[in-house]
Amino acid sequence: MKTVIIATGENPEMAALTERRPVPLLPLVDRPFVEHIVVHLAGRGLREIDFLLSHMPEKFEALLGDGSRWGARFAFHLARDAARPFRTLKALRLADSDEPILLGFADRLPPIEDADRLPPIEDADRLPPIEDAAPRPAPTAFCWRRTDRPRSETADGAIGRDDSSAGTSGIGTIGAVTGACAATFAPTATLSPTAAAPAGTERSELEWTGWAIVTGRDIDRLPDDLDERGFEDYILSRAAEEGRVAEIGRPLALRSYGDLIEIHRRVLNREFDSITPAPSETGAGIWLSRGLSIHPTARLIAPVYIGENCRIAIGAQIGPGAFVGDNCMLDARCQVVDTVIAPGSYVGEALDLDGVIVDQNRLINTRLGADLVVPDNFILGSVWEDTLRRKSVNVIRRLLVAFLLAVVWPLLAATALGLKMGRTGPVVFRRKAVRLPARHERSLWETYDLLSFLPDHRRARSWIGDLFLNFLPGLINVVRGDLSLVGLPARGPDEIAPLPEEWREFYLSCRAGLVNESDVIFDETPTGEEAFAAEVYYSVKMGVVYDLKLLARYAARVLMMQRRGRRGERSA
Amino acid sequence: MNCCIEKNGTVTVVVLPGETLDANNSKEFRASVDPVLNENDRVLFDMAGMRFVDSSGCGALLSCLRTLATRGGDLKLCNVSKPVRVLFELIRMHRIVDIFNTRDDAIRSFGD
Repeated sequence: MKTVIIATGENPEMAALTERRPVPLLPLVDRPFVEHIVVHLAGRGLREIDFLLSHMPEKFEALLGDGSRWGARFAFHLARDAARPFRTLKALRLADSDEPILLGFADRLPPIEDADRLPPIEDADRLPPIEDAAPRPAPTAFCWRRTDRPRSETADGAIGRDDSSAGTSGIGTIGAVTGACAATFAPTATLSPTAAAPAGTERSELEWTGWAIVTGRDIDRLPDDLDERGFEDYILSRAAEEGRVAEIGRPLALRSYGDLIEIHRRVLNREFDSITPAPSETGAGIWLSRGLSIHPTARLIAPVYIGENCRIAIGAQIGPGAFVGDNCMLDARCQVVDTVIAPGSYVGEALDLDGVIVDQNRLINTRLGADLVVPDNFILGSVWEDTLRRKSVNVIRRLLVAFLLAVVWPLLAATALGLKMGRTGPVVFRRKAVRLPARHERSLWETYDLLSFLPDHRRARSWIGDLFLNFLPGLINVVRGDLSLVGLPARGPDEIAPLPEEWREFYLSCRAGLVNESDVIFDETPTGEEAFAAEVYYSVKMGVVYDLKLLARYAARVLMMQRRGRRGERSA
Repeated sequence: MNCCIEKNGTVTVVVLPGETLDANNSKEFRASVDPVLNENDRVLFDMAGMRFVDSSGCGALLSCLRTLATRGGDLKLCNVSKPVRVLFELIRMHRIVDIFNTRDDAIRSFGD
């Protein structure tokens, strides 16, 4: 049976954590969440898996490869809209119309072992009667029973059994699908009819786990333009009308910040048997990985998991309910309770963390639903950020440009003098530009004055004109450390804010420079599409070698005394 | 640049020739596909032979998309080779233009 995993990777409610990786790649103890799903599926013989990706697909593909690690075969498909990927799903002919497909979301991991207790989908005897004689496979929606809501009074079949034991196999009512009315099914031999529970007692309701067995026909009939909620309603209604609902245990779900702490708590408390962390359990509820350095005065209170190569300093208290990812550093006397610390994070001295998620310098309070970026690295930071190396490279670059400026200083002075004599008004023009890279929050943008001999910093008519009027005065900004020799065009805050989100994301993560890809590659003033393509292309290609290539092209245009084209002069 | 053009129902499939779409040939490519974009609403670029695309190539593809979109049409890509796909994923091209692994999937996605 083929498996399709919808792993679009975006969740607006977890935006703070998905800047660097998609949701299913968030860690669950010793590996990314989606890897646990893959291990489960492959272990059950489901080795042909198609992934539907959207947000950062390259990270999924880098992690999972072609599936050969698990003896499986993976295929990856791209969905344009992460919120509505089902149109793409419909276009993929993944199976014939009656062939069953196991379909699920990558941010939910149900206890798939429970599926063994279900009647096989090929078992035609248990199917509801249908018109034509030939039995067809029917969709099966896997649901779990939530029993945490108090009952008020009994509605017409809207409330399921008062049996609160999750994991009991059987068929129940689906309030989520039919509203006030129950969708009842032909009971199997193992079921008793649903009984209305007395008011005031606990209410139970079936919720979809996000996984189902569907057929090619079910996918072909998907309405257009569904979002996730619409898709859930569709699957449950198909199961209610033509198939079945199967009750299994509660899944691990990663759909909110609180869920990230919750799933770790459940795994460390052994509430989800099928996941056992790889490191050995050194004490009851204490998992320690290799390469650790733990001060003798540090206290570990179960349940706690500490990843590889971590350092726990003097007097730290870790746990209960602490998950520390690989390569973390927890400084002296910090307290970490009911908290998830993402790999590569530094936790400062005497910090008290309770019910939060730490992702390097980002702190997320799961109880308040608030997140903030802590700019001070001595409080929260990244272990991997090689500040010293980065600063050293920066200083060397600026020294080299300073040397270049010292050599061309007479040209700069002569240009300024000539302009002073030839025009009235100012010689040097300043324009506010944002120092890159910059954070997404506008309030954190730092600006500087970009220098030019041209008013409004407009394009010069020739490349040699650009050299004297824009490039040479801009060298002063490079020496000051405001921007680089090669990078994206410098922009002010009011020019950055209106950019489309994807473009803005790329722009803020890169660096600005005097020489740009769009200027060098496109002869005329680039169109919007060309400018966007040039900037995002440079942001993924940038490096010493590529920068030198662009500089060489710029120098070639200057030396060949080329004229800069204007849009409209291009031949049709 | 001679692009091979095929009709598949209401979808016009343009097979991009050559192995590169870059600053040296992107203008020529744009000129050769302009008539196809002006006369058809559903266009599919088959990039099976393409091994390298640079920023001007990406800009040309986006420009084709805009030309069609302003007329209410749609452009999709299919059979993108691994190196080009890696680039497209990194620059999030797949969030702007539909990209499919096979021609059949892409044609089906246009619907009826």
